Amino acid sequence: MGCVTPLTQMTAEPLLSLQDLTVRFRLPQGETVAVDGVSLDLAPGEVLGIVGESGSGKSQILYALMGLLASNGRAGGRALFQGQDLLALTEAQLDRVRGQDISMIFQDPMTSLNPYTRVVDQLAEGLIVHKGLSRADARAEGVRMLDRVRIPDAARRARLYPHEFSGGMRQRVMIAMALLARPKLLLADEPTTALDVTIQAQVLDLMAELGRETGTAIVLVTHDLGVVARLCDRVAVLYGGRVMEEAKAEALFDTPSHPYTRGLLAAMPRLESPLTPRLGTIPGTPRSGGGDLPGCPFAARCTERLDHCTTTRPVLQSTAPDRRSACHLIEAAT
Amino acid sequence: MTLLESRNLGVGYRIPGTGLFSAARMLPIVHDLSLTLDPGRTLGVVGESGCGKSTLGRALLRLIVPSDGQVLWQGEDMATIPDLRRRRAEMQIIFQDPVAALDPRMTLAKIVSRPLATFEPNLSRKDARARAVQALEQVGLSADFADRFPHELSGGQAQRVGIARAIVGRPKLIICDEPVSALDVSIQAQVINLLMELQEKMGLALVFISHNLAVVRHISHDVMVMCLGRVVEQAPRSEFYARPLHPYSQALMDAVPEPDPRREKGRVGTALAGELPSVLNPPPGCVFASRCPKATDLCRQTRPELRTVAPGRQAACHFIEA
Ligand SMILES: Nc1ncnc2c1ncn2[C@@H]1O[C@H](COP(=O)(O)OP(=O)(O)OP(=O)(O)O)[C@@H](O)[C@H]1O
Ligand SMILES: Nc1ncnc2c1ncn2[C@@H]1O[C@H](COP(=O)(O)OP(=O)(O)OP(=O)(O)O)[C@@H](O)[C@H]1O
Ligand code: SF4
Ligand SMILES: [Mg+2]
Ligand SMILES: [Mg+2]
Repeated sequence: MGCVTPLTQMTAEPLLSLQDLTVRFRLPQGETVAVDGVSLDLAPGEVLGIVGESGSGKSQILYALMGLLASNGRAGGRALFQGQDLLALTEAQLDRVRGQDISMIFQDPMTSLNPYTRVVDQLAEGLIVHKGLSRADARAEGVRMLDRVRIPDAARRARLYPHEFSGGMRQRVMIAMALLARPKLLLADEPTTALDVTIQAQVLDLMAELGRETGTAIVLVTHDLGVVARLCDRVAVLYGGRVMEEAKAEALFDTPSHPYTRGLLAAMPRLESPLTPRLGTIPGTPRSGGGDLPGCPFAARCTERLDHCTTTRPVLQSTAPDRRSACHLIEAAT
Repeated sequence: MTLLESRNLGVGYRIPGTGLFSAARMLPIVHDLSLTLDPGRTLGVVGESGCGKSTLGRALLRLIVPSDGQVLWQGEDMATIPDLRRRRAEMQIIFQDPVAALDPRMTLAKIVSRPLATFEPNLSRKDARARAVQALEQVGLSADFADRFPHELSGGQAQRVGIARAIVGRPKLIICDEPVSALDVSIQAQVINLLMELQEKMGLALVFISHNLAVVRHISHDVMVMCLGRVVEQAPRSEFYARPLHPYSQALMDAVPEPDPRREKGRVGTALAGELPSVLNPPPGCVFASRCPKATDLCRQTRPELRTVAPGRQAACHFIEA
């Protein structure tokens, strides 16, 4: 499955390197920090999963890379793509990168597809503009890709408008559009939430296959830990805008080192787990953005909290080869 | 008394004709669908992407006018309920596309307190806001979200606003269309627990549409499986999960990805090769025949009727022996 490029073999130059990335929003109530100093590397062809609580900054990381933050938002730090800082590009330069090298599958397909344009023409547009295909060829390519993402009767369906598609079909249109561009980097934000598990499996396989064919690296944001297991080489766990833990997929599931990761895995409902009157959760309420925090963002909900967790920020540090974790417990143990 | 019932429900969309002079025609989506739902119960609905779950959900509330059959609300035909607009406050829906479902110009407090205007028209503004804030807190959004606008939210936060809006007026029924698809497992659990609590306390009934089979197992009393607009299996929850009978249900169970990279990456070939059937060109026989490992010529030619195959269990397949 996924393209295996172990951390240890990573070439000197990663495809993407986030260095202390921050995203802040201005609101009448004050400033909120959505992404709080995230540093991550991605090798060519690698699949990196990003998981984390709702509101922890996953989508905003991707928006920042694409230069698509809301007008009240501001990105800081650096996001080097092939050595070039995406945050420093002009709008025209960004347009070129977005059309040719980086594609994004948005979390919310209905608001990112054009309601007034037939699906086939939305698929064809990028190919005409960026790859110089004729309209007829571009449309044919578009239909072929719709077929590959398992849209039934693709040729006829392609002539319809997005509102005539079901939720999961729109999602597959977004996926088809992103894959058509054969990008170097694919940013996929919850791409399969509206697909039933049989079609989801096929679409994930297709993403992996095209990844292998074209050497596309993927950043996959998802809440589904099963999807992570299926597709990702490496996983970063986010909480409160910060990376809590980062590891190879196998290692993360075998020996989750951060209390939040352990909480997530324990809370995941499974087909064979015994039925209880209530599902297990992580106690407490998530932090709702807000200003800078001195300690660990997870401290208020952490059952293993130490005294200085609320006052001192744990640093993300290497705990083993290929592994990083930000937790005072781990610092205490080493 | 049964709260909600559909009898041989058919739903379709009007689509433009294909040629220049051909008239608009009805594209049938949901066929001959009968279900009953009692207060305090949850019907889980799973099925293929595009099979008509959202269409069914909207038709059950008459947000789409059915083309066939009836929907009864507390025994009354919805088509003839005089003051349906007001009565509808008792039946809420959580839409599948959370961001598109929220009015971009309204603050969350306004969006969430809106249903109260029909439910409890005498509530003061201040009390309505307090109720909205309380509902937001129940779905894990602290009070400081009340004055935000929808575009200032993450995907999962927007989804939770839809849930808060649905529960604020204490309705009798909520149609939940993929209500937790954008939530992390912890908040998902919190929301599921909340719905189950409201159900126990107030007899809330739920139609719970979801692709997450583990969540459906947890919350549902009964499960219905759909394929191309038809019910292919219907069963009490425990029986269904112990032994799904229809080949499509079995394929679904097999395809659930597990949080185990070695197992998942080792999977060879994917479930269910074969063409997907299309509503534009429906197959004459079984809706699952093109992908079913057990299919024969009989399956490709003759549609299996939904029939009782065990006490309380129905399935539509030629080859089920109970
Ligand atoms: N325009 C905005 N103004 C203010 N805050 C914002 C804005 N957009 C997003 N936020 C906040 O930024 C934080 C991070 O948002 P983001 O969309 O990245 O979350 P996420 O991790 O993708 O969550 P989900 O899993 O729910 O989609 C959230 O708390 C959100 O409320
Ligand atoms: N407004 C519309 N006009 C024409 N066809 C439509 C319209 N809305 C939906 N459809 C079609 O009806 C069928 C069922 O759509 P529906 O949204 O009910 O599916 P669903 O089961 O909810 O799928 P998903 O799991 O992907 O959300 C699909 O084939 C879709 O293309
Ligand atoms: S009727 Fe035939 S094709 Fe349909 S599910 Fe049963 S065995 Fe498979
Ligand atoms: Mg998001
Ligand atoms: Mg739907």
